[in-house]
Amino acid sequence: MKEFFPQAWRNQLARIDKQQIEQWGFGVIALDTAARVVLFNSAEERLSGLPRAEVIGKDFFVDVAPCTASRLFRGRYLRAREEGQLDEHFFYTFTYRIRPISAHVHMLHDSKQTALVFLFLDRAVPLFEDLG
Amino acid sequence: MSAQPQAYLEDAFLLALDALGEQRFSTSGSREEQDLLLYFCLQSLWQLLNNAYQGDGDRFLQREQIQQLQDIDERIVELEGKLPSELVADARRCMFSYVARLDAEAESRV
Repeated sequence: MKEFFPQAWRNQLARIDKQQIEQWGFGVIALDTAARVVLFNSAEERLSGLPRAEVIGKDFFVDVAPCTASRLFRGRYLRAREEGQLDEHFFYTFTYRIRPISAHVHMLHDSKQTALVFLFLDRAVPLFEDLG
Repeated sequence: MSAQPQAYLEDAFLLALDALGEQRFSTSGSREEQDLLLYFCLQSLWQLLNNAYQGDGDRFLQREQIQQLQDIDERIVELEGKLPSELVADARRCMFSYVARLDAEAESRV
C-alpha cells in the first residue's frame, strides 16, 4: 500500500497536535487509552461529513463509527494498546449511516512516544457518487 | 486474500423475513415483541455481514455489498423509529459491550 503519512513524523508522534493535523490533507484521528477521540482534523471532518464538535470526547468504536467495532479495526487498536506498538495498513469501507467511503487506513502507535493511537486515513474511492 | 462471501443467502433470508411479516406472524397483540426480536436479528446480521465483507482489510467492499448493508440498515432505522428509544439504547449498549468484551478477551489471548 502506498505510504501517505510523512516519514519524517514517524518518530515525532508526541508533537502531533491540533495545529499540526490541520497541515495535512489526509484524515487524522487520534484515540486515547479509552478509545475516545482526542484529535480530529478538518480533512477528516470534510471527508466523513462528521462535525468535529460531535466526535471529540466520544468513544470511536461505539458512538462515532460503530461499524468499526470488529476484530479488523478495534482488534488492531486493542493490539496496539496491548503491545505498546503498532504500524499497520489496511483497507476499510465505511458505510454505517454516512456516505459510503473506502479508505486506506494507517494505524500507528508507539507508547514510547505517546499514549495516543493514530488513525491516518486516505480516501480512495468516493463510492457515494457511484451509488447515486 | 480470503474469498468474498456471497450475498445471495442473506438476500434470501431478508426475503423470508419480509414474507413472514406479510403473513402477520407476530404473537397476537404483541407486534412490539416481534419488532424487538427483529431488531436484534437485523443488527446482528448487519455486523456479521460487515465483518465478513471487510475481511482482513485486504480489499474494499463491492457496490452490491454496500447496497445490501444499507438496505439492512434502512430496516434497522425503521424499527428504531417504532421501538422506545430507551429500549434501542439498551439493546445497542448490550450488544456492543458484549462484543467489545469478547474482542478484548480474544486480543489478550493472542
